[in-house]
Amino acid sequence: MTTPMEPPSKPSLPPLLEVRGLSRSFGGIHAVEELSFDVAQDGIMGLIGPNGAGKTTVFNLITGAYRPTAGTICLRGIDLTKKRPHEIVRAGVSRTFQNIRLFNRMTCLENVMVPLLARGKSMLGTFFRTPFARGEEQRARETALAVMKDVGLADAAHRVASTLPYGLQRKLEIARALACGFSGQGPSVQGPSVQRPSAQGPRLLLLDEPAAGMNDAETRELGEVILKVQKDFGVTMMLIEHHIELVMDICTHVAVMDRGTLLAEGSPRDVRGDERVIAAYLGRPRARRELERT
Amino acid sequence: MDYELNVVMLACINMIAVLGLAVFTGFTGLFSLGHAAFVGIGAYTSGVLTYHWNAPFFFALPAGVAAAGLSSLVIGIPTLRAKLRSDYFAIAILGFGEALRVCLENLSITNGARGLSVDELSGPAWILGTLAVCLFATRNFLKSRFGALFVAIREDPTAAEMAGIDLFKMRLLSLVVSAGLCGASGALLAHRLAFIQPAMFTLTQSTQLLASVIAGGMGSISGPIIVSFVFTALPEMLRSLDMWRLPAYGLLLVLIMIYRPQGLLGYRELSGLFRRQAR
Repeated sequence: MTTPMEPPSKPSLPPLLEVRGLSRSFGGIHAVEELSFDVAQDGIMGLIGPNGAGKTTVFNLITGAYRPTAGTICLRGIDLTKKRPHEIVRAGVSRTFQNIRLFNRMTCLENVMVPLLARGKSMLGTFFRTPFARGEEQRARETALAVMKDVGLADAAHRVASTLPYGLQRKLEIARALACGFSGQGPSVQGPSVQRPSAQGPRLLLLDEPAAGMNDAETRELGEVILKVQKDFGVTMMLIEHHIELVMDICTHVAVMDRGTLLAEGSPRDVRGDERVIAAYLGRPRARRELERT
Repeated sequence: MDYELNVVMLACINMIAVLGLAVFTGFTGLFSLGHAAFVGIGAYTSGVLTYHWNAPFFFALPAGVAAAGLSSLVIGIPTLRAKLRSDYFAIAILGFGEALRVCLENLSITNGARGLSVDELSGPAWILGTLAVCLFATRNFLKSRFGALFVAIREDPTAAEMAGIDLFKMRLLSLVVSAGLCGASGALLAHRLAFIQPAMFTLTQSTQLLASVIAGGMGSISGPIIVSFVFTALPEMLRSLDMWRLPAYGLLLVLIMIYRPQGLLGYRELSGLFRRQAR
């Protein structure tokens, strides 16, 4: 396990995600153009850039919401560009949304159970509530509760999602995205938290502006949650974020996008010093002042 | 007494169809203006089987269910694969329903617009038994993982897809189950009234099914069931009002929508009123 601000402990490890020549245009607009980058195993990669740079489009391309116009996206050598969204989720990629998208009328527990139930096997048995179907639901419930405990949501399990305060809704979205990686088929979870076998848990978690609308204290707390999740679940993350301090604090690697292309990438330290980045994105006086403070 | 029994039996038959639409609209969140077509397919399949081939009812009823379920694939596969938004889907299935009516009117096996006089085979035992089985199985189904996945799709299709749900498959499953229930309702109806004609399965009937589901409450089984009973029984009870009974029915719908826009039991069940609030 790596700690932030350090390069991955095993530099020889092949990258988890390889993006090559990725392009997507909408009519005449090139939202993403000839984008290539790697996401290293076990790291937290920050994706920053001005509004309209194409960051969310990159997420939509990785998760299969959009088909790329050109290019490939490979997760551990498997091409994702031909797969449908739910297949990509099963391959180990899950995400959160810029504007929170929860199943509002369901309880928090049910929200987290949905990805587990989506992988269920019971079919006809559901009409008769056979022991197999019920056992499957029970396992999903246990796994979901364990995931919620790890994210710090155990107390909210039976609350209706829409009644949660904003910060907890963000956490719930992360918990649901984490649950996407569990098959729901394994033996029931024992003990206080999920003991993650290597094949389980999502491999890549995409967080789209998780700190949007949060104040400094909430953002700091969110940063801690993200680091804890990274450690507990051994999940690699990509993070779109406008809170530069959060990106500098928790990311192991930062890529800067502008107008659909990659402007610069490297360690947070390198990117911070890059002249082009400062000009394109951090050029505004306030952001520069913030940087000088850190 | 016979008359009251008949009204109650018709209400029970109607309940099964409303139950079917509740699965699709109330739980999965897709609107349909064509579910009467599935009732019609159930009615005609079973009717043709008993009329032309003297098939026993215990065979004709499941055949009606199967035919309705299979025919829903015809409309469901192209429209749901294209991920038509809810309102577009409602229009597409409306077209399906009208096309079916035209077919029924022009086929010789259905005896065209003159209708088919079948035997009266579904007595109260058949009707109540089928209703009980349908209620039991549907309730279990909706309490299972599929119910949760349907509700997730209704709440946010994008998030549901990103939670690993195969939207196409789950919506199609919901449609097939829903059409199958409507088919059961149709088979019972045909052999209760002992007469079916294409005009019985039009947009008007589809609208009434949808009205029962909306007025009964989205995401609820008991709400639409209660309302469908009222909607079937009320026009009969109001026969003394003569021509005013249809406006009265319309007024009731308007009042429900104004004072309870979420429906009678929106996102709740009757049993939940006495316990905790369900979804």
